[in-house]
Formats: sequence, C-alpha cells, structure tokens
Amino acid sequence: MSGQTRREFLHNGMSFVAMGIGMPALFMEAAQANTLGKLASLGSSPSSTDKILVLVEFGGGNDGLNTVVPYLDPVYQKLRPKIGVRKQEVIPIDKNLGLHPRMKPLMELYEKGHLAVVNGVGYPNPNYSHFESMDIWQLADPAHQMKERVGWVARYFNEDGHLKTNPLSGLTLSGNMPLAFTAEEMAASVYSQGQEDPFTSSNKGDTEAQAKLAARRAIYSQGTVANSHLDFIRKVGQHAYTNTTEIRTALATYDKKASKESRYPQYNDFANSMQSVAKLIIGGLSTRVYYVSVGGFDTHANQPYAHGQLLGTIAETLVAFFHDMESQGRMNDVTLMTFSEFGRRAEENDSNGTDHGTASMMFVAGGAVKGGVHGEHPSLTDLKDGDLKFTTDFRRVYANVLDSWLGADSQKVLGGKYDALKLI
Amino acid sequence: MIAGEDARMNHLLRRAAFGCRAQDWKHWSTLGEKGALKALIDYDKTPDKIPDLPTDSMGGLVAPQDTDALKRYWLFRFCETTRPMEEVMTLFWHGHFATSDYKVQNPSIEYRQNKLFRKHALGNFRTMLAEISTDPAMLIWLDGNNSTKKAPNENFSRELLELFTMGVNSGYTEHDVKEGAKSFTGWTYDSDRYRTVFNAKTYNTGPKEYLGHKGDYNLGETLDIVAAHPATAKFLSQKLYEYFVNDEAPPEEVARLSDVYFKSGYSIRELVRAVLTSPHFYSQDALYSRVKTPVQYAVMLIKTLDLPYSWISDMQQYTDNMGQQLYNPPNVKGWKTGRNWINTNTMTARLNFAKHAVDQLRYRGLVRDRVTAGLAMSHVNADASYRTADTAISDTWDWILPSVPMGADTRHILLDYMHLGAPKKPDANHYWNRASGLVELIVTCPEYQLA
Repeated sequence: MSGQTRREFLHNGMSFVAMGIGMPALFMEAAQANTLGKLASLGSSPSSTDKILVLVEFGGGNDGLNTVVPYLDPVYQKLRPKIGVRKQEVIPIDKNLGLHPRMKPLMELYEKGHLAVVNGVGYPNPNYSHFESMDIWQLADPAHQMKERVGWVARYFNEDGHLKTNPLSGLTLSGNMPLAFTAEEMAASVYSQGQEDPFTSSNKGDTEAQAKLAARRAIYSQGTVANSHLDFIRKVGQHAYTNTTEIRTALATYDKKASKESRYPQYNDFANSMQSVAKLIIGGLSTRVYYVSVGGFDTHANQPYAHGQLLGTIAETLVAFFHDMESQGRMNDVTLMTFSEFGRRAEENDSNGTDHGTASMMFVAGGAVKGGVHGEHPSLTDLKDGDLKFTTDFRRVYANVLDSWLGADSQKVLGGKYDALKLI
Repeated sequence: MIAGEDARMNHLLRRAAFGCRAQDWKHWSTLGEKGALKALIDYDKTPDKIPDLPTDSMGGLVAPQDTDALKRYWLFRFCETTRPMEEVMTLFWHGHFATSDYKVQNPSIEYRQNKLFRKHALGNFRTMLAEISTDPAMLIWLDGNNSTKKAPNENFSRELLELFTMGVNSGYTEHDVKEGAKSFTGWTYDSDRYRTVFNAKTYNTGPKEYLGHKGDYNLGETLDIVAAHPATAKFLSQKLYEYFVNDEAPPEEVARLSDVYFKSGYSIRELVRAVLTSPHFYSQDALYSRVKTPVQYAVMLIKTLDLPYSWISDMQQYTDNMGQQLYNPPNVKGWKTGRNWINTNTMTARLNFAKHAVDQLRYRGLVRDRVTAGLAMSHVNADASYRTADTAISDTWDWILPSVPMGADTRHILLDYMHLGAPKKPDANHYWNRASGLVELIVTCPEYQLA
C-alpha cells in the first residue's frame, strides 16, 4: 500500500509539473483522495449497533469506603472519626450502604436502574504502589504471568480482525496512552481538541502549502523496517492523519441540540473530555472503547473537601453524559465502567487523610446494566494489616463486560476463566 | 563505534546538550571529542550568562506569578544557555523527583525547586536527597508538611524508596516505608517565607527499624542508609544510562557505574562522566536510537534553525501539547519515555511546532541565510548556489540529520516537491524559494523524531 501511495503522489506530481502551475487543486484532491481512501478503508466503518465501552480511571487510589459508605456500621465511625461521612448525610442506596452526599446527582441513574455499584473489588496479594497496582488493573494480570505487556483492552482488540486494524478502536481523551490500550501494533489513539491538522489544509488555493502537505503525507505513507521506532512513528503519523478526518466528520454530525441542553460542569477537564466522548459517540465514530481519566484521588491529607469535590464533579458529569446518551437514543449502546488502582486503608491517618489500601469499589452504568448493589461489602472487622479484604476479583467484572457486552471471549482475553459477575 | 569525529560530536551534542547552534559548532569541534565532553560536564567553569528570575527578600516570585512564566523562562534557558548540560540534567531531576503544579500550586516554590535541581544537577546525590526531602514543593507534593510524631505520613517515605532511590521490588518492605516515615516528621512549610522549618516538638524521636538497621535515626541518618544501599547505586546508574544511552543497560555496565557511584562518594558528575565515556554511548547501535523527548525535540529544532527564543511565541504550549508539561509531570513517577512520547495527539503537536518554527524564518525571508549557516556547520557546500534540486536536498538533509541515510522513496518525494511548478530551465532561485518547505518537510519527517 505504502509504495503505491508514493507512486500515486509521484504520478500526480509529474502531471502537475507537466501541466504547469494551473492545476494544483486537482492534483491535491487526487493525491488526498487516494491516500485517505486507502488508509481509511483499513478501519471498520462506524455502525450505530456497535456496543461501546467507556472506561473511567480514578487515578491515585479512590477511597471506596467514603464513596459507598457502610453508614450503619458502628466500626466505620470508629475507623473514621474525623473524615468519615456522617450517617445523616449519606444518600442511602440499600439497607447498609449509602453514597457520598456529593454523589447525590447519581441517584437519578440509580433509581432508573442504570447504575450498578460493585463492592469490595480487588485482587490477591495487593500491591501498594500506584504504578504497580495501576499496571495490574491495566494488564489484568496480578500474578505477572503475561509474557508481554499488552493491555487487556488491546488483547480484546487483537482477537478481532477489524478492531485490530482500526487505529480508532480505542480512543483516550486524557493525554497519554493508557497501558490497557498498549500493544506492539497499536489499535488506539489519543485525541484532544483544538490542534491544527498538520496533514491537510482546507485552503485549496494555497498551492505551496498543498504541495508541502501532499509531500508530507507521502513521506508518512512509506514502509519501513518492521518494529523499528521509525516504523512506529510513521504509523502513528498516518493514524493522526486519518483520525483527524474521521473525528472531524463525527463532530460535524453531532446534534447541536444535545450540546445546548447539556448540563456538564463548566471549566473542568474531566467534564470536557466526557462531553467530547458523548459528541463522538453520537457522531458515529468507529471507536469501541473510550478511555478518560480523572486524577486527584491520592488523598493522604485533608481528604474530605478534595474527595467531595472530585466525587461531586464526577457525579454531575456522568449524569450529563447519560442525559446526552438518552436524548440521542444511545442509552442501550453504551456502558461506562469506573476503576481505581486501589482503595485506601480502613482507618484514617492523622493528617485527615488515608494511606494506600487495597479493595475499592467500581461503578458500572448504562441502559443495559442491571442496576443496584453487587458484590459483598468487605468486613470492617476482618482486616488484614489494617486493610480491607477484597470480595470480588476485578477480572470477574472484566469477564462480564467482555462476554456480555463486547461479545468477546473473556477466557482468551484474560488468560483464564473467571466467574463473571452478572452486571450486564 | 560511530564512524567519524563530526558524527560522534553531533551524537554527543544531541544527547547531552539538546543540539547546538551553527555559531557554537566551531567552539565544540575545536575542543575535540575529549575537550568538548569535559567542557560540557565541567560546566561550572563556563560563566552562566542568564540571570535568575527576580524574587523578593523572602524568595517569592515578583512577576509574573504563574507556571507559564516559569516554563517560558526554562525553555529560554534551554535554547540560549552557555551550559547546555546543566539544563539537560536539571530536566532529568525534574522527571526523577517529579513534583507537579496541580497539587503544589505555588510558582514561587516550584521555581525554588527548579533552582535546587539546577544547583545540584551534577552535584552530590546524598546532598540532593537531603535538599529535596525538605524542599517546600516536595513537602506539599508528598504530604511531608504536617507529617508529625503522632501521625507520620507515608507518602514521601514510600516514593523515596520506590522511585527516588532503590526502585520498586528492590528489597524494601512495607515496614521500611512506615518506619522511614517517622524519620521524616517534624518539617513544615512556612508559606509566608517560602521555606521549610523544623519543629522538634513534632519530630518522632525513638527507635526505628530501617532497611535492616536499628537506631533513633533522624532524616540525615535515614538518607545515609538509603544512599549507601547497593540498590540505590544500581537504580540511579540504570536510570542515567537510560537517559543518555538506551533502555537496555547491560548488567556489567550497571555494575561498573554503581562502582563509580560509591568510589566517587555519590558524585552525580562522575557517574554521568562514566556514562558518557562508556563505549556503549558511542556504539553504532546508539546512533538515533532514542525517541526525542518533547523538550529535546523543540529545543533542538530551535537550535538547528538558529532561532532566537523570542521569535517563538508560546513555545511552552507546544511542549505541553507534545506531552511534556514542565512543572506538571503526570504523577510522581515522572514522564514515561521512549515510544510513550509518540501518539496521534503528540505527533500532531510535534509537526505543528516544526511548522511554527520554520514559519518564523519564512515570514522574515531568512530561510536562505539559515540554511547557509547550517550547511557551513555541516562542512558541506557552505556557499553552494544550487543548480540542482538533488544537491539542495542532500545537503539540507545532511545538515539537519547528520549520519542518517535518506531513503530512496524520501528522496523521490522531496525531488518531486522541489520540482513542482519549476520553470522549464530551473535556476537556483526556484530552489531557494522552496527551501523553507524543504526544511519543514525534513524536520517533520519521522527520522527527525529520533536522537
């Protein structure tokens, strides 16, 4: 393909030279159409029937105990005399558990049965390092059995010919490529709004610029030694080119009405990213898994205010997001799943915060989700070194999402059989 | 070994100085291989011509008090300093003791920390540890502020072992983390004076168990233990090797460097000297084997084109978009390197920055001058007046990407580009007019992303 692209360029270039300066627009359009057509045909075409997964990372280690609060347990108040959520303030979701008061907006989803709360999520032999534990979640590999560092979502893409070759199968709006998407051949991209497109220009009359851009596209379309840095960079460059065009189309398709009525929090990166995800889903982008991260959960000190702010913004954002999905008739096509590298120690520390812990909680939300409380809440009296014992292996959640939502074979992707939780 | 003295010099300057301006090439090449290395490393003998940012008597920044101003100032230093290695190492430490504005939110103490990294960039590692352990920004970043006798906070203690000294899974335990935390108590941040103060009342006196030792260790004694640990020597050696050479540090080379660490009494300067004089540094495999970091890419581009810093507006916005927000690393582990720098978003930012930079020459009609200067630097056809596109392409390529073979396809594409719309009898002027496009195409090609 790449050789052909170059020949196309040469061919058109030559004819341009032969015909003189009067033909630039034609030359450009031809070169562009050829390159784009070939590259774009590699990916799977967007289809509104595809099931979409939105992953939301709570970076830093979310305090599950103060997110979903065992508010009637007297031990909770004992462990958390200063930073505990007060009994009268929690938003009860069942007889024993209640949401942090700042998450009240989520009750709209919860009452409709679109929000599942998964308790006691973790894995054996917990790791207390942010980076090690985050890698474990992203690789779905607590025992370090995988030979290669290929993320769990990337392994799912690799099982499917179409997904494997579409650079937009996975899309993150959070700056860096998450390990979950990472593989030697990356079927995932990073996107942020507001950058100029370095491969195309809408100014057809600027022949000098058009000639330069055509040459750049040709340079990036060449083949190189497989697995070399150059090959990798060239492919990413090609993807940047084709993605921009696809994303532009999707954003143009987005219904302005949804944007007008939306209730996303203002001036907040997470909210902006989630609104972009909504726009791209509604615009029909071919992306199967979106990834958004929100940081600030490493609350070693002065936790109550900071944690409350975070949970509040997240709740408001998620409600706005699903409002968008509902108004566009996409509620049943989208599942959202939150996760964090670990929870925090059961007992508060003396800096009004909490130190690194083990089991935490997950939210799973969407039209297809069986709402309510899932998984047993960890005991506050049966602790190990002051930490909660996990009750639900996170791979049981992954297995459910893979099998019942994405239509994949979780056993293959996860490298083992896990008793899938029945969330979907 | 990389063939050719110029090729080796360019390699050294790419890695240890983030490139060189045309006017400085003579300086380095006259010094020769050994002399240039010595001048780069022993930079304290070269006067620093760039003044510090103005601060008041307490150390508070005068104006403007925001991180964009700090980023601008630092990038300016990178582009115009007489001591390039000082900045390259300051950046290394910023990534190593990664402290982020998103939590610290105080440019005065962030700048103070930046000066600390610069002051000890090639100093003594034990001293650096002592300074950073009580640094105001670090104290806020890892919750050392208000970590007290009653309530030792584990955050700094953990990252000290995991990320700053020994490295993960290197033999320390959760118990060491908890015990170490006690030694770091008692320090608080005095926000009016932008400094830290020790409060004996909140310091945890009493016995501690740390990395197999027992005693009533204070901060300094705890750092003595950790600095003297073999895992620290190994971890630091490996990380510096990776920063300058490549990701696959051979065990025997790590052992040799660890030896230098101990024998020199924890001298970072001697450790770096040992890395840069390693035969691996000049091996053919090392040539263009690293993905440039965003700052390295941007700074090298400015130097290659010999642009004054002030012509580039908002350089920090581009390096931010390329994935390296100075003063705001993504987390305490710093930036992931290598291919992690490259994704569809960051590639877009790289190419856009290159266009922005070349445009500064194009708008001013200076491409021809700069290309000539660049060619003078690469010793080829310093005053050639090109009659053929072919020689223009080859010489410009060799100037920007010395020692990189140009692919046949790339040559064809560039030739086509140069010929596009040429008059029947092409003359030098035609090629000069397309020179800015040629330069832009070369600095945006995949090869230029490597160093």
